[in-house]
Amino acid sequence: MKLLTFSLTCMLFFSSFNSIAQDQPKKSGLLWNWSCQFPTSVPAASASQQEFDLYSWQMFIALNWPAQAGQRGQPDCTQVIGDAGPVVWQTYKDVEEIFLPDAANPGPWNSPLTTEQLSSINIAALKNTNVVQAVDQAVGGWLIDQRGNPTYYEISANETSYNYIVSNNFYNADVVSKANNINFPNFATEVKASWRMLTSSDDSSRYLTMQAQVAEFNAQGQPTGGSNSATLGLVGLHIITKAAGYPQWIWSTFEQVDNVPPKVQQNGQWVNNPQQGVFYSFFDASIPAAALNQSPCNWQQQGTQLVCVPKTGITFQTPNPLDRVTPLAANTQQINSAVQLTLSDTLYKYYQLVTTQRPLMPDNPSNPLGQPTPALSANVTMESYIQPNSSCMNCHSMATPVNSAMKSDFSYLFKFAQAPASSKTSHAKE
Amino acid sequence: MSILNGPRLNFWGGIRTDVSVPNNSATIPYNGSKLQLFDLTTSTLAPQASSYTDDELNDMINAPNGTYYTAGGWNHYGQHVVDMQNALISSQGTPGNISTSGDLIGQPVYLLGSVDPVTGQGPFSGPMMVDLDPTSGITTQIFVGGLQIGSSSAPQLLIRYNSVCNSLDVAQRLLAGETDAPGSSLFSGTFQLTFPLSSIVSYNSNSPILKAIIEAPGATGIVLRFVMFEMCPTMTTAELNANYASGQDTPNPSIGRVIGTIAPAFADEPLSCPAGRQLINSGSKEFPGTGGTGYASLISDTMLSIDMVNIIPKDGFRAVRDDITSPIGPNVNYGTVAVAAGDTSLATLDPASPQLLTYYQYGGIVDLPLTSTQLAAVQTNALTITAPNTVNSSILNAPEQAWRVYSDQRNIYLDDYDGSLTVTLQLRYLGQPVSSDTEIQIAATPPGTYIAPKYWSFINFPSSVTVPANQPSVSFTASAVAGSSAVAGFESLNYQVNGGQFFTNFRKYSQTDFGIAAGTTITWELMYPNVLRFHYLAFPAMSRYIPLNQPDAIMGAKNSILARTSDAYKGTTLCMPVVRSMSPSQVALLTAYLTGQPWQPNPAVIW
Repeated sequence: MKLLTFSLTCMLFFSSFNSIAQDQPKKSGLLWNWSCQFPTSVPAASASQQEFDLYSWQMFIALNWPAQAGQRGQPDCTQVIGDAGPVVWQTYKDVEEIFLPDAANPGPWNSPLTTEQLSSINIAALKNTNVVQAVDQAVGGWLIDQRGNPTYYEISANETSYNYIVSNNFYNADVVSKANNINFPNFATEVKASWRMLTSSDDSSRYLTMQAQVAEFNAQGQPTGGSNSATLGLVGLHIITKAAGYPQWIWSTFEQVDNVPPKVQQNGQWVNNPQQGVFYSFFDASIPAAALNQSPCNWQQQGTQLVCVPKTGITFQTPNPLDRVTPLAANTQQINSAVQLTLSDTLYKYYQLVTTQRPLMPDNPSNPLGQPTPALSANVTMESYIQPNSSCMNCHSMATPVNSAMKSDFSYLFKFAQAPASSKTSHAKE
Repeated sequence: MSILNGPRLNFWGGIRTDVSVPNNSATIPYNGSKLQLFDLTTSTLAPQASSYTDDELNDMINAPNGTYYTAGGWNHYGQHVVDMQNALISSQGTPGNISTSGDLIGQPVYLLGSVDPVTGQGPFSGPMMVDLDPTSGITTQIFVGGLQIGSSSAPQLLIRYNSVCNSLDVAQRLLAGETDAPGSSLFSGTFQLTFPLSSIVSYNSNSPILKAIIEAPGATGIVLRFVMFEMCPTMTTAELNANYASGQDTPNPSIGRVIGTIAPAFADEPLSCPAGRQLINSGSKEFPGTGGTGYASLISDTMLSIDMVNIIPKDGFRAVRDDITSPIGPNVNYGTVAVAAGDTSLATLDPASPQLLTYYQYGGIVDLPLTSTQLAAVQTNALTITAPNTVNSSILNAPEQAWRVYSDQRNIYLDDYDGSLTVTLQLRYLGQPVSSDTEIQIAATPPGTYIAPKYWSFINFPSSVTVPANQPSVSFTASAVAGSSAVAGFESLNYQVNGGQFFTNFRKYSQTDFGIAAGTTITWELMYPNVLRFHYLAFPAMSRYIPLNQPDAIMGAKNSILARTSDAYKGTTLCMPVVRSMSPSQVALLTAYLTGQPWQPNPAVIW
């Protein structure tokens, strides 16, 4: 095992995690025995941001651990992170498996993985169809990468979350829209992932990849009804978990490091610092700053729908260059560097934590939202065009089921709930 | 009377007020001069600013401004929540028998936000601090949805009730404030709320003190008086500038101290302002006083209680800026404090006594036993509080303001009353109704920086009203001037009688059709500049819930917006916007955009 030099700070932090490291088989290049299990203890509200950031990494690593064959949501602890095969979160149930047509009961948790899962991804462009409500994904329109391909999204829930939904019949839009007491149990977890299509020009070894059927769109962003097989690379991962003592949940967001360049401070200003030889998936150094992070859409009211009409000169193949509005905090970068070293033999060294947003005071009745900390949290692939105002906790505090004014405990999952056929018929008659 | 004349729970601790401040001024410094940024009367951008992009304006607002925060002030991203921080019950008991031990000592006290009036869920927000006139320092309100003592898992007392309290007795509380902070770090503000007994959801009936308060003979409710002071922004100028430069845009709430008292409320007491005889630390000709105000009440023939929490100033600011929960520390030591009625001494208070040294543990209230001679003196003479020493060119000299005029009507949105309402003024002389007909003078002034007459001359009111002998109050009508429907502005009515004074603030919105023809389909381009653009820039924290500059997000949140701009939410902490800066005409335009209904301006009013 090669020797690596950690900073004193990181040494201190990592020494504090001796107690949570499990006896996992070591793999050459792995300098830390990460646990394959999702963390069951969470930092106290008074803990530092770095402690929450390490908690985020614990979750990320547990969720990206190779999954146990035939057992959804469970890690195969005989393997190590980076080994081949679906990872834990990929065996979670996505919204198309939870919210079935006609509000059919989606059945027990541990149903077999199917190939349909790979074709059931939701994409940002669905926002300008009638399928998904606008607020369900990053606001502002689709996101085309610098190769001219769209970004695709999927949302999944863990077993705790899934069982809560199923046991309360909340997969049924008619039921959940009347619920006034939605309250997920502790350890309910949701994952939102963003993927870009990898081409022969991309280095796929820097990504978590999967093969999928992806929907096809015309130049105006309208679905053609067709689909294509594609190799997708993970570019963003939101993890939200309802940890014990945190009714406002804890919000972690990760990105692939090649999305946009890092920022450095020069003369008091934060500027992009592209690294030589790196192809940035969503950044174009030749584009003036004012043209970055711009939605491709002019929104037009068409009947009852607000439709994205591409701005002049823009098509569904036109890249939407981005940059990061809020630089990663120094402490978070420090944790990222240290963790990436421990993952140096895996593809996960190419991922970074953007931030962990959590309530600073989770149990203050005068302040039910608990003061989101840090105030902003944005994944460039998901909140691309609203980064200056993006706060996961604030936004999700507004969440309700479809056709309901009742709060849904910070979860937008229920926007996907479908009504039973009988209900649709009666509505049609009305 | 009020917090003085029944069993009490006293508490102290920390408090935070997360007000956003870009709207405190209509201008920002820019390129060596001032740029007119907003029209705060109409909640729109000033013409000079409207040609800039939103990003450019945000950058201007967030630009460093030398050694004092940014061009837009010290908290661009405030969410207006008011929250208690470790405010704990410190003493309890009955007047003259207040103890620092008891069943509720150490229990936390919380102000609450509102339950959703439609769904019954929540609260999802905290209390909200709102300036009726954002440019003024005397029009602050806090919208509240209830009160809780104890933790959420084991509440000792839970009250749900939508109410609003107002800043009263704003005056200097510290001889020296925090230098890297607004001048208001020197000041204190007093707030009072009254909750009817019917609003009590639950309480621990095994608690002797709660039983004593709730079941006090004649009690009609529960009154809460609290004082906040030693307030300053959490971050320093350098910290805020670095925070904004790195795109973190963190809220920077003002943090400070709170001292409060909870007690039974009784019939015929004012609801939102303290009852009792008023003493003001007016100082002397040589050393003007701080203006700190106290209240005294004869609670029986044998006891006088004085709320002295604001009377004696504190010397300086706390040592550690963000330490708002450590012991508050003593006030200025002016020597032995003397309380008298006319020439009759009532008591002397040693600065080392708990009543003065650890006054914050007792709500700042002092109970003084009286002899019959002292009682007679109190009934017929003005009270005074004095001390012998001069400290840092200040003295303690707080005589009673013998004539006291006051009202529960402090901050009024005229449009909520269809342009006309009755204002009732209370008048007392030495705590009693006047013995002869007494005239109260009324005059109008601008409460803030909108001093052009067109902004504060929209109310019809009498120049004086007369309180008949032996009557406690008088009423008059305040109504919008005919033809003022298009006027928007802020106006204060000031009441004066023999040195006693009080004021009521009014806000009036403009009734307008925005120059848009009836029947027009409202597009984003018609709605955004007239309604949401101001709020996107002045209150960017709203966009952390719903991006106000994104048409798809606004339409996606249509139902929530329509609900929260409706009348059902107006008196709650869930009103949109929480700062109540959206006029009825703006709400109508936003509604037309969201619903797709052809534009139909609000019916013309006759004002």
